[in-house]
Amino acid sequence: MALDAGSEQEKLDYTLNNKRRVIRLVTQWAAVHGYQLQEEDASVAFLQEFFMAASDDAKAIPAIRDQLTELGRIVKHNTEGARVSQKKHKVLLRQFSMGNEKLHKRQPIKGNDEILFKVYCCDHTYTTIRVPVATSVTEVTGAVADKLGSAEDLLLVNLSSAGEKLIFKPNDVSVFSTLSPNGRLFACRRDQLDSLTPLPEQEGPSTGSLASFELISSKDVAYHMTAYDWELFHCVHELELLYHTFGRQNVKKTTVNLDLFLRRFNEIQFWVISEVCLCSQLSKRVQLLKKFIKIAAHCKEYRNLNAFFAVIMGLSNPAVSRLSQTWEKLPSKFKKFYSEFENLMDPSRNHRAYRLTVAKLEPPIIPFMPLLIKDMTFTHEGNRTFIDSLVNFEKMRMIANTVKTMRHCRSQPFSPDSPLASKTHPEVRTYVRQLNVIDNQRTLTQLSHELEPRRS
Amino acid sequence: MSAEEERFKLVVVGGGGVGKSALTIQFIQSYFVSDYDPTIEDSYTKICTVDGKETRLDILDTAGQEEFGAMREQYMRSGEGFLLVFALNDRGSYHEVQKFHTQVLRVKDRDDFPIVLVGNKADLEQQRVISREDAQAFASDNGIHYMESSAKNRYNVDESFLELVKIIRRFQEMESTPPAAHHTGKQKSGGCPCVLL
Repeated sequence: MALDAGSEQEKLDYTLNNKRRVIRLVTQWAAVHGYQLQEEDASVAFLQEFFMAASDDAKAIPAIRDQLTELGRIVKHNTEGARVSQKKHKVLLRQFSMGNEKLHKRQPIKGNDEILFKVYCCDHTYTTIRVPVATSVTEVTGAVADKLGSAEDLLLVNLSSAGEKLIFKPNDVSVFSTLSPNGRLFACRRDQLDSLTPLPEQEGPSTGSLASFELISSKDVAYHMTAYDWELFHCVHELELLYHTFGRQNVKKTTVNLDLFLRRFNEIQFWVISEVCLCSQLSKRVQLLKKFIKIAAHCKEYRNLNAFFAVIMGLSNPAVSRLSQTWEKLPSKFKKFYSEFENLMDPSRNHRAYRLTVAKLEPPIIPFMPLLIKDMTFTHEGNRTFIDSLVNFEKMRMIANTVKTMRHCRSQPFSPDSPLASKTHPEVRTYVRQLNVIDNQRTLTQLSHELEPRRS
Repeated sequence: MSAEEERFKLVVVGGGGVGKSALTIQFIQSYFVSDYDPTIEDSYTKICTVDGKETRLDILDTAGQEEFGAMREQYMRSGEGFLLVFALNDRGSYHEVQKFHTQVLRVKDRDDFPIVLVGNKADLEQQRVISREDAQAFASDNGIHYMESSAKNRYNVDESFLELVKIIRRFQEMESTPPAAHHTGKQKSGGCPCVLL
């Protein structure tokens, strides 16, 4: 008798534990997905159904009631969120600005937010379309054709400042955020492809902007760059990293926040190259090199390794590194710093130098994103998802590890003592957020050769 | 590790989706494993023997980083030899790889450099849009070596990398010989006129 009762109790405990674990799993799952859950009706419906079932269970097993409160809160939040987000969305301007960033903290961009975007034609006229961010290419070309009153099949093209054309596939989604810094979207018929030419504005600036940041301390510039990078980084959802790796067109999801953050790397890099190549006076150019090396050093101190790499890679771009007259005049102290920094960038032995350095840092950290993306790519491509029709958990664990790296980096808020306690320098803040760059490598190389012609 | 050890840095370039990473992974891994971890130090290193001599290859593959265009120049600088990869079923990737060829020469500031042009996805013969003749003609015109491979079927994967090692060795030997034997690019690559197929 006593034995039977014991096993009855054991059975109950076993059931209870299992139920608690399932509820905990669902709670965690909902927490990881966050607002992304609300974009899928099926997920919200599942949560509601699950909550009902758990509530029924709680009548018989009071011990799970404590977990129900939390679950109920999550369900309510997501159900309401889903309802609201159908109606309430943001309208973004072309450069993904919300127009009121001075007032509000940057919010993640969602797939159903709408964006106003210019799509150009061969003759450089444009139509402005307003579509959800997660729109597919077919829908974009449809919207353009509507506006033009045309019934022809149109291609959507990313035209770079160098005139390179990338034709988007019809099922690509959310292509707005994948353009290069000065890239523009063009729509045209297939037979018009050859006649596409970049807009004059795509060339970028013809004079440098040294005057705008010459008098501002390098530390202030680095601080504002880092503050902006943190806003962009914070908006990236962990799942975007997965969508980016597994192909977002396969999951019909946008990776817009990640795209914008990744694009920032290119922007900073081209900014450095452009400024140096647009500076015709040798002594000023030496000042610029010093300034950028100092900015890089401060970014590194702020543990903003992404911007640090972008600046140093800008300086090591052939268009800049070949300017031997300029580098010769750089004080040896700076040369030493630069070569130390360059060593950190050395990709050999799988970026050994960088990996060792970053492993020693405490969060908050902004990691060197291109490498994180590469690790994800190779983990995905180098390992099968299924082996003998079973999920390859080794692969999933490795993917999770890279996602966790990102989580670790963001586990502490970025809140250094602002170097500008007394003054906020709104002009620096604005400046670093609106960098004007030349993103055509050929133009940059040409400018570089004009500054310091090749020695024979 | 002997002081004499030969080490080469190879760079794999090509557009997105041409199978670069598959090529690299196939080469690095001699056999299939379920847990290839790309974050550890030697996940892009391979020691192999070419013409009886051991060499350590450090491979830099930019797969997944296609959107960081300006970084490519930086990586190219460190390369001692290049595999330019395109997909035989993708004309866009073929045009792109021709641009990369120009870019390598510009970054290296040379008229020729150790390069192997690789047409990947040879297994998709029915979908082929770039003929062997066209690619071979482009390669010959530019004095580089051309090979067709299939990372999927492990066809010509090792061969592409090892051929590049041979070309680098020849190139570096020429470089170290006195300038009296100064040649233009075309003549150097004349040493390997045939396609290994």
